[in-house]
Amino acid sequence: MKKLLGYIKQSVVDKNSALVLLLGLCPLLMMSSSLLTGLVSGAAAMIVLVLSGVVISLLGRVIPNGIKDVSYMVITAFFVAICELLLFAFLPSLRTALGIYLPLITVSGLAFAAAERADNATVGAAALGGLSLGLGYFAVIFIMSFIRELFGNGTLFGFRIIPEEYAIRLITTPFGALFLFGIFVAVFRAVALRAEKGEVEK
Amino acid sequence: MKAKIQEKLKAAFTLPSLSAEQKKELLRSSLILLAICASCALLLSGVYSLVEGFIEDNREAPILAAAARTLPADSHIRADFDTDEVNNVSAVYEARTGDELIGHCVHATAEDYDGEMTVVVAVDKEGAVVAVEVVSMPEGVGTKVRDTSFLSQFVSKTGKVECVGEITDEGQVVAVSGATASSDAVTECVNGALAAVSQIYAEKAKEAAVG
Repeated sequence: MKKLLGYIKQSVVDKNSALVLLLGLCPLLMMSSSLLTGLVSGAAAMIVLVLSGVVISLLGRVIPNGIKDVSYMVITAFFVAICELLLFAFLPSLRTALGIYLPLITVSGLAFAAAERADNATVGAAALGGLSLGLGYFAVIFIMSFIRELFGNGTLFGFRIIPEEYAIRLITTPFGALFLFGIFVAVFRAVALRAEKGEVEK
Repeated sequence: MKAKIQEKLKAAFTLPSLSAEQKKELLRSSLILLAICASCALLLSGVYSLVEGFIEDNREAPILAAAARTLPADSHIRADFDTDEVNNVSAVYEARTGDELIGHCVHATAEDYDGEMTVVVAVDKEGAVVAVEVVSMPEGVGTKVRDTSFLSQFVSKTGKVECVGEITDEGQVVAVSGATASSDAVTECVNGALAAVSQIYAEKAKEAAVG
C-alpha cells in the first residue's frame, strides 16, 4: 500500500508528465476548457496510454528497430480512434468540444514517452509506465479544467456557481489557458525547488 | 566536373544495392508493419460496426428535437425524398398527428462565414413557414441570427425568400447587421426547405391525377 502511494506520488508530483516533463501540452490546453471535457479527455488519455503500453510491450520483441516508431504510432492511433468512436456513440455532446484535440493525443510527446517506456519492458511495467504518465496528465488537466470552468465561466459541470458578471472570460480562451499553465509550472517548480533544498539541509 | 555531377546524380537515383540478408530484413519489416496496420484496421472496423447505430442516432437526435419544437406533432418520420434534387436540403421529416399530415420539417444546411450551419425549417400543409430553428452553426458574430427577432421574420413566408438590408417588397426579410453571411445562410436553408416541400406536394398532386 505504501509502495503504491509512493508510486502515485512519484508519477503525479515528482515526475509529472505535464508540469515537469512538459508533454502533451496541446491537447492539455485545448481540452481543459470545461470540467467535463477535461475529465473525459484525461481519462481517455490515461486509458489509451495504458493499453498502448501493454500492446507495445507485448509486440516490442517482434517489431524490428527500423519500423518501431511507425508501429507505435499506429498502435496509439488505433486506441485513440476506438476512444473517439465510443465517445461519439455514448457522449455525443462532447463531440464538438473535443474536436480535433482528442486525436492529437496520438502525436503528442505523451504517447511517444509511453511507447518509449513500454519498449522492452514487461507487460506490468509497461502498464504502470503508461498509468504514471496518464495519472500526471489527468491530475493537471483536472485542476486546470476545474479552475478554467469555475473562474472563466462561473460554472461547474454546467451548473452556475459564480454569477456571470464576475467570470474572468480570458481564462476560457486558449491563450488564457497558456497563461494559467505558465503560472502552474512556475509555482510547481518553486515548491519543488524549496522541497529539494529542505531535503538537502536535513 | 560534369562526370562528377553525373556520377552523383546516378548515385542519387539508383537504389543502394542490398545484400540478400538486408533484403530479407526489409521484407520482414514491411510484412510486420503491414500486419500491424491490417489488424488495427480490421479491429477498428469491427468496433465501428458495433457502435455505428448509436452514432447515427446521435447525429439525428438534435434534428428530431428541433423538429419537435418547431412543429409539435405525434411523430416525425423521415420521408423518402431525394435530397440531391434540391440544394441545401439534407432530409425531410413528415410531421403527423394521428394519421393526419400536419406539415414537414426540413433539415437543411448551408455554408456560413466559416463553417457549416444546420437549420430545421418547419413548413405547414399550405407550404408556408411555421418556424425556423438554427440547430448548430460556427461560433462568432454570426450567432446573432439565432435571435427570434430575425428568425420570426420567416414565419408564414411562401415560395422564395430574399434577404435584404431594407424591406421593399413581400417575401423579403431584413438581414442582421454585422451578420450578413449567416443571415444569407439561414435564408438559403429556408428557400431549400420551401422548394423541397413544394416539390413533394407537386409529386403528390401528379400521383393523384394519374391515380
